[in-house]
Amino acid sequence: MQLTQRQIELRDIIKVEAQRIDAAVAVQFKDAMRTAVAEGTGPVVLDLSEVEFIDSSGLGAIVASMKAMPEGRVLELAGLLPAVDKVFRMTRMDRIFTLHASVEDACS
Amino acid sequence: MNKWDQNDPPGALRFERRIDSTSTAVSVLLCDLRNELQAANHRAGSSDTWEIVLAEAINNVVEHAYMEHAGHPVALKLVFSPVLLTAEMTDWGLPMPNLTLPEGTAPEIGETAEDQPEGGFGWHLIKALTEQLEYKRQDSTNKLLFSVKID
Repeated sequence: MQLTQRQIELRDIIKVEAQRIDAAVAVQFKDAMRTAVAEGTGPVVLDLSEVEFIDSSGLGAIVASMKAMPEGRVLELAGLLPAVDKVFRMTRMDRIFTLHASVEDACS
Repeated sequence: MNKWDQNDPPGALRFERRIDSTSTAVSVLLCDLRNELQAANHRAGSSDTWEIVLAEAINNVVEHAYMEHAGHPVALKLVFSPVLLTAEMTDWGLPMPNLTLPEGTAPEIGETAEDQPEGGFGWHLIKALTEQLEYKRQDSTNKLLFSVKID
């Protein structure tokens, strides 16, 4: 599970460089996220614009990552494609995250 | 006569697959199906719902019926008509608790981050996205029969 990281102003942008976050990679995703958010203090925006498919394990891994954020850091999501957006809405997890149409929106 | 024995509707694509009981095999199968549907210009090639339901149903077998043990088969018979996926899934693992499908109610949203649910979404998604859904325990096998609209 490859994540790439950059900064825009005070925000850490973490991009998922994979087309799927599913049961096969959910644990790897959680581990990679834990490492990626360990340093720094600002808000984190998870860029999902490459992710075409997510299942309930992948969703659970994103929720777990949010819960494991270091004190004072928030996790927001950006760039959800239709299949991913559908899973968030159907499970009502769209209500516990701030969702942005794109990384640019998240930073404006 | 069950749905599977009827003649396929016009424009249908039929797949019979048997995969190993691992989450990686599920991923590979789903990507493979999507590629074949797209190559055949089938409507399901650009639809998401069937893939969500199949992923949840098969991973449920991997995680619960086979308790994450690899090396067991999951057999699938899938008919993709232009408007509906009809699926029959068989495994040789543990039966459903009480020999019945879980209720599939959505997990409660917590008041704080710590309270948020990390699981329990799978059956909720399956129930919400299927047209028909039936579970049978038959001769030491589990059978799940379901259909999903191609939206």
